[in-house]
Amino acid sequence: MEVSIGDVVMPGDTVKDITTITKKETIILGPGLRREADTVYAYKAGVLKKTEPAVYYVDSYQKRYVPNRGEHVVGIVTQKGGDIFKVDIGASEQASLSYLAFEGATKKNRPDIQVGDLVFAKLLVASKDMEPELVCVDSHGKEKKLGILSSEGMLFTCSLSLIRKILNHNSPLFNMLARNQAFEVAAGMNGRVWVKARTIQETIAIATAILAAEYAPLSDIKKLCSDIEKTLLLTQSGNMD
Amino acid sequence: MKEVLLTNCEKNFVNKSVEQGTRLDGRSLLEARNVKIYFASNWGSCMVLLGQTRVVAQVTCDIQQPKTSRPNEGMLHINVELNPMAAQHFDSGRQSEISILISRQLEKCYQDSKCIDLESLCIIADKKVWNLRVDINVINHDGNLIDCASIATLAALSHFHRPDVTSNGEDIIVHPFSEKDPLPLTLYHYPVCVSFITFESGSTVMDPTYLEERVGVAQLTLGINSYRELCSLHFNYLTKTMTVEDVISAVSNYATNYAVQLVQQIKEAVNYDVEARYKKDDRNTNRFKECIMTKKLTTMNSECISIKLRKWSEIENIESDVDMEKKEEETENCTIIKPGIGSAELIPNTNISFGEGGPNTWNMSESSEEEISDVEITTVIKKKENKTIENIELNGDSEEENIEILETKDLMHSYKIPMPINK
Amino acid sequence: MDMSEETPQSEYILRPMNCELNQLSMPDGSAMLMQGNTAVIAGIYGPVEAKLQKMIYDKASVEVSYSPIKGPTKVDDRMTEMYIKETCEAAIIVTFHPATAICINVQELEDSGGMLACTINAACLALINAGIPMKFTIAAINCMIQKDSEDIILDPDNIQLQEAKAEFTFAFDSMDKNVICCYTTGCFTETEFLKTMDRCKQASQYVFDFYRNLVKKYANVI
Repeated sequence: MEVSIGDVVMPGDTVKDITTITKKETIILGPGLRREADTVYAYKAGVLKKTEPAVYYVDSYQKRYVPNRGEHVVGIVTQKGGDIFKVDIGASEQASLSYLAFEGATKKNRPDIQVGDLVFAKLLVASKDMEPELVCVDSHGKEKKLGILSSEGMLFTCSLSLIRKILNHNSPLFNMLARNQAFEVAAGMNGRVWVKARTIQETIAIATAILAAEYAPLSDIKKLCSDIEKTLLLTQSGNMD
Repeated sequence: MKEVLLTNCEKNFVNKSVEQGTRLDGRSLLEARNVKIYFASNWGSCMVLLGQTRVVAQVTCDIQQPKTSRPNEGMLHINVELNPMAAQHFDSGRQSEISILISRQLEKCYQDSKCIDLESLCIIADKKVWNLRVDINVINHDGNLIDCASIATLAALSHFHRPDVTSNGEDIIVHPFSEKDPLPLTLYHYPVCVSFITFESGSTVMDPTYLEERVGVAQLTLGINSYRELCSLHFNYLTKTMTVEDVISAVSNYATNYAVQLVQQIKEAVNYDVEARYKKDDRNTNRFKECIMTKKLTTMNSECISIKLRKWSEIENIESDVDMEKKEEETENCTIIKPGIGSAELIPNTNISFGEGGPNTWNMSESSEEEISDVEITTVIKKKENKTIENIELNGDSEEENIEILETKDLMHSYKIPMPINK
Repeated sequence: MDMSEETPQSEYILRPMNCELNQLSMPDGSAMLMQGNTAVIAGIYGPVEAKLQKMIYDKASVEVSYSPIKGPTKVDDRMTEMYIKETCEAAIIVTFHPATAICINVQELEDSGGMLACTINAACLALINAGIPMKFTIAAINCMIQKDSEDIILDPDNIQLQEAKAEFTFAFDSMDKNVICCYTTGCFTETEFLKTMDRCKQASQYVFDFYRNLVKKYANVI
């Protein structure tokens, strides 16, 4: 079946808009689309979208992470050995993270990471044929926001589509929550989110807000945040009594 | 696949929150999740949801020779399978430690406690008895598999009805359900298992989730029946690093109250379903269909899908019986069907857009794997009408594509094809 | 939701289909499908790390596990697993995830006729839910030829199947409606075979539309 931008596509549908473009500009086929000879087929079920100038992709629902270069992920350190850490990022293979890929790390000065710790890292190498590699520094050697996540927070998993939704610039979720709550959050593109707030209840509340945003359309997010705040206030005042 | 490693972060957080008396899903420490029971359309089959943990149980019976040590008792066998879809680290085939543990728990609770009247399952002493088999399949693992499995076992056993048997001297006649009403099992008492997990700080929670089970230090499972009697007990340390104080006396009261309430809920659900079955009233029952909630975003329900094909009866009168012949009819039907899309012929709930690409792709069907059979048919056709000779070439030839274009143009003169036929 | 009355042309009716995606929290994709009273639940993990013996260096290895509701797995169940595996391998683009495994697990909940077709449909829905790359979607239809009247009945239930002379299950792809899988029992002539195949092909369009409508429902929100 032929589909166009904004339609819901199923695997096997051909996209007719792309094939008719004969201009010289390069067309980029994002996730969900593949090319076979002259036709473009969708291989995932979702909504066909386009971003300017000529990037086409299918926005689909997914839970399992497939590594992509340049994405920020939350990983769990599973092994320490040799010169690298083995980090579980929720993909089919474990990623490797070198000791030296941290700010200020030298051979003598190793980072203090134990098995079971969380790291927020960036994928340097990620292809279907190779083991993924992570780094905790950017190209200037600065840590910025990457590195170890403290054990004081809470980790939970959600779907990849939710992560993309909340990390979108247009999403009001974090802004609304941040108005009345103080919290730190690290959202990895692999579906793992680490949250830390002042108290246990607040942390749980923020995690619930993020998970509830999955099914909430944009218009309901404001209401969602205010509901969460109200419940928090009630429980806090209850505790103080 | 291996289990995902438990992070220090999660461990700390769960321990701290339990110390403060909160749990991640908002329950209080000694509160259990909601239990939902759904029944299938046959006797003795049910699916139990304990929060997100999901277990399916099926009770079946057959006639076998009894054990020599117990010649006038029936047999009960409980088998637990952890389906690999329940969790990433479950392997199919091998009996893992967890499945043996659950099997043993359930055996203690249901077999060793003699909750079923096995003597009533005897048909001819020493020769033929009913052998009950309970198969439990765990479909989703979100903690507390033992409780969920025990609820499923109890519901399935209470729901199960066995065929009626009459004996006339030597032979026994097993009556099918249509002849004689099936009989329920006799249960002396109704036990369920209630599980607790104790943490480092000493606090105990009831009905743990997957994460809480992994963080916990000790596990306690009590099998309690509706008469407040203890049927089975299992205590286990999950780590080797510490010991906990007396958990049993602390929670036994809560456990008993909860068990009594739970058995009441199960009995009600079973009775309601059994009555509905006898009255043949399907309206308010909890069948699998209700498990698929109609209002959710990710569900799709459709009524009986009726397919047009009115003209099939006319086609069958045609002697040649060739597929291509039928296609001619069908393509003519297309012009009739298309307006039919919005018509009342199709039930409104379904979204049937029949005409889309349907007839076009049929021409390709002959190029499917059935080439061998196509060849056979062509020989048959040749013996019949001349009209179909063109079709024969189509069927047997691998260069169908060229010919097919001709075909469709011939057939579908008035029908506009929205998409290109061939690649 | 009532079952509709049997019309005089009852052979042209598919049983009501109900489906829910993403019901299970642990698998990457899951689907519970009911066709009439036949119910099946499928759960998929993938792409995940493959065991060394089963790892194929340039493709994803598809592993299927089918669990019946009664008793341990038998040889028939292994045959069902093989049918599901071959059908799904035709649809999944295995070269996208080399050296990984895609584990398809199907649990039978109730068998009221048409089990193989129901499992293939459920597996396809679960694959869609898991976001596994697929070349096309698959629809499987079950049908039978009645003993005395020689009628072709689509999607028969257990009671109708007792009068069957032959039973067929066909699986079609969504692009060209080619036959991907064919399972038959009983005796039939070639013309009967082609006739039933054509009817099933027509009926498969409804199953594809069902899938599409299901995805349409949630795709814009999630």
